[in-house]
Amino acid sequence: MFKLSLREIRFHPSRYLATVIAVGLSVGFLVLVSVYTATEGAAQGMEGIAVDATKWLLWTFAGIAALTGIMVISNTFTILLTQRQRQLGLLRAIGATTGQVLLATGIEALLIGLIGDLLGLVLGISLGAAFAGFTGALANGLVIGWSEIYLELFLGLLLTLIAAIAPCLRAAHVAPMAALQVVPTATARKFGVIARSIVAGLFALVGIVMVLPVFSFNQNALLFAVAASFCFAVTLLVAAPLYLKPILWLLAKLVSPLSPVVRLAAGNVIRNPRRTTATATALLLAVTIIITLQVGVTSGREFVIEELSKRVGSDPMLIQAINQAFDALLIGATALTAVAVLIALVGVANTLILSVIERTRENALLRALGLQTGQLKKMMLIEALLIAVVGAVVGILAGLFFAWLGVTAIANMLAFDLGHGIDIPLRTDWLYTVGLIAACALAAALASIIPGRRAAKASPVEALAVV
Amino acid sequence: MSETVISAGVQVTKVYGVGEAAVVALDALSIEFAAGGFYAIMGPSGSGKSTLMHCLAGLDSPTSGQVYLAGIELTALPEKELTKVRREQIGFIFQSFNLIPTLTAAQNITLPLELAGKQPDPAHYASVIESLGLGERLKHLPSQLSGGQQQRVAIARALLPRPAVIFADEPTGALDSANSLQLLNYLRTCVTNLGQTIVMVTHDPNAAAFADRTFHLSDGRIQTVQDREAPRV
Repeated sequence: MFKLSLREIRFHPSRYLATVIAVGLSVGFLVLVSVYTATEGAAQGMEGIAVDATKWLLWTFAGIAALTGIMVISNTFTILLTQRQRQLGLLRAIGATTGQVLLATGIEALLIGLIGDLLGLVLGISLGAAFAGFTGALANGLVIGWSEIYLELFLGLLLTLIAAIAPCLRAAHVAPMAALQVVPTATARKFGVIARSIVAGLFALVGIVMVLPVFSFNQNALLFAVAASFCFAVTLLVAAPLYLKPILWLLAKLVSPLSPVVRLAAGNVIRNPRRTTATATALLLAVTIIITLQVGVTSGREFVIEELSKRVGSDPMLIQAINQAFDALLIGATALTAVAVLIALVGVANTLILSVIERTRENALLRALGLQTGQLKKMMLIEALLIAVVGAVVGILAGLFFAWLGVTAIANMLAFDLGHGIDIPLRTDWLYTVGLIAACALAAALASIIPGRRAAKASPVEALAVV
Repeated sequence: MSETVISAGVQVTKVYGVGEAAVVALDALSIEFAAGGFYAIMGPSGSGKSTLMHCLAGLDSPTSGQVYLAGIELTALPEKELTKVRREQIGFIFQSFNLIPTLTAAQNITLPLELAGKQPDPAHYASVIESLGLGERLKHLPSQLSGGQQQRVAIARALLPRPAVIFADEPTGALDSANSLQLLNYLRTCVTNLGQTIVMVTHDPNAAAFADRTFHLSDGRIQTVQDREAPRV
C-alpha cells in the first residue's frame, strides 16, 4: 500500500501541488511567527509577556490561515479522490479491503503533509529571517525555537490528516460497482444536504439565543457577540454549499446570454456545484474576516475621532495620530489575513487545473468546433472570476453582519458603563471594499493563467484520440 | 456530382516521433474530393485513415505536403486562421462525445456559428431541425438524449453553417444497426438533395457502401479506390 501511494504521488505530482502549497503556506505562517518573534524578542531583550502577546496575536491570524488551509486541502483531496474513483473501485474489485484503500489514501495524505511541512519550514524560517532582517533584529542572530517549531510541524501534519480524513473515508467506502460510475449516488447527496441543514440549523439556533443579550445594555455584550459570531460562522460555512449553489446558478443564468464563451464558463461553474461551492467557501471565509476587521476598525476610528472632537475639540495632531494608529492596525490585519486569501486562491487554481484535466476531451472538441485558444483561456478566466466574485460578495455581506454585531456589542457595553445609550455608526471604507473585490478578481485571474495555458496547450487531435 | 475539387491533400506525409521510434502514418499520400460527393475512407487500425482526416480537416498539420479546402491552403495558415476555417467551412461528426455536456441540444447546434459571431439563418435552422426530428429535444441536455439523438444533434451542428465539407469520424461507431442505418440514409440524403460534401472515415463496409467513392488505406497509402456502381435508392 505504501508503494502504491508513493507511485501515485510520483506519477501525478501536479495533482498534489495545490495541497502541498496549502499545507506549506499554513505551516509556513506558524513557523514564521515563531522564528520572527523569537529573533525579535532576543534582539530587543523583550519581556516574555510582550513577546507572547505579539506571538498570540500573530498566531490568531496564522490560525485563520490554517483554517482556510484545512478547507482547501479537504477540497483538493475530495477532487483528487473523486477523479480516482475508477482506480480505487478497481482496487476494491480485485480484492482490496476498505481498510486497505483507506490506508493507501491515508499514507498519501501523510506524505503530502510531510512535504508540505518541509515547504512550510523552509518558507517560515527564510521569511522569518527576512522580516527580522528588515527590522534589524537579525543582526543579533537568528533565534529558532525548535521545540515550538516541531509542534507546528506536527500541527501541519495533523491539519492535513484532519482535512483528508472525510474524503479518504468516502473514497474507501465506495463500493466496487458504484466506483465505476462518476456521479455520486443520489442518496449520498441527499444525506449530505440533510446533515448540513441540521448542523447549520442547530448552530444558527444557538447563535440566535446567544445574540439576544448583545442588543441590550450589557457588560458582557462583546462576549456574547463573539460566541454568537462563532455559531453564525459555523452556520455560514457548513451551509455554504446549500446557499452558494442557487447563487451561482442564478449568476450563471444571468451572465450566460452575454456570449458563447461566457455561457460555456457559466455552464462549467454550475456543473459541479459541490466542488465550486467548496472552492468559493474558502475565499468567503477569508473575505469575511477581512471585512469584519475593516468595518470594525473604520467604525472604531470614526467613533473615537468624533468623541474626542466633542470633548477636547478637534486637534489636527491628535486626529492624525489616531488615523495613523488605525491605519497601521488595518494594514497589519489585512496583510496577515491576506495569507488566508492566498491559500483560498491556491484552491481556485487547483479546482480549475483538475477541471482542465477532466475536460481534456471536451476542450479538444471545442477547439475542433472553432473555439480559439484565446477564447479557451478566457473561458477559464471567467470561471475563476465567477467563483471568486461569489465568494467575495457573500464574504463581504457576512463581514458587514459580523462587524455590525461587534460594533453593536461594544456600543451596548459602553452604554452599560456610562448608564446611557450611545450610538456607534457602522462605517465602511468603500474604497477598501471595492479594492478588495478587485484584488480577489485579479488574484482569481492570475489563478486561471496556468489552468488556461494547460487547457490551450492540448491540440484537438491529441485529446480526441483519448478514449 | 460536379467536378470542382473542394478538398485535397497533395503529397501529404505525417511522421510521428523521431529517429528509430518514428512511425510514418501518412506516406506522401495525394487525394481529391469533388464538391457534392459522399466519400468513405476505409482501412484497418493504424492504416492512417484517422490521421488523414485530421490533416484534411485542419485539426492536425502534416509533416510535409499541402492540404487545401475550399480554395484555401490550410497548411499555410496559422493556428488562429485555421480555427476560423474549422468553425466556418468544416462540419464535424465524431464517433462519440460529440456534444458539450453543459449546453442544451439547441446551444450545441448553434455553437460554431456563435463562436464565429454569426446568427443562424432561421429558415435553414428550422429545416435542419425538422428533417432530423429534433424539434422536441432542443431544450434537453446531452445526458437526457439517447445515443441516436445525440448523433443527430451533432449532424445538425455540422450542417448548420453550410460547411464546404463535413468530416465524419466513425459516425456510426457507437450506434446500433437501426440507428446506424437511419444516420447513413440521412447523410446520403444531404449529399444527394443538398449537394453537401461528406468525407467519412469508417471501418464498416456497410457504412462505406453508402458512399459514392471509397478509398482503402493501408500503411499510410491509398491501396484501392472503389466507385459505387449503381445509385442507391
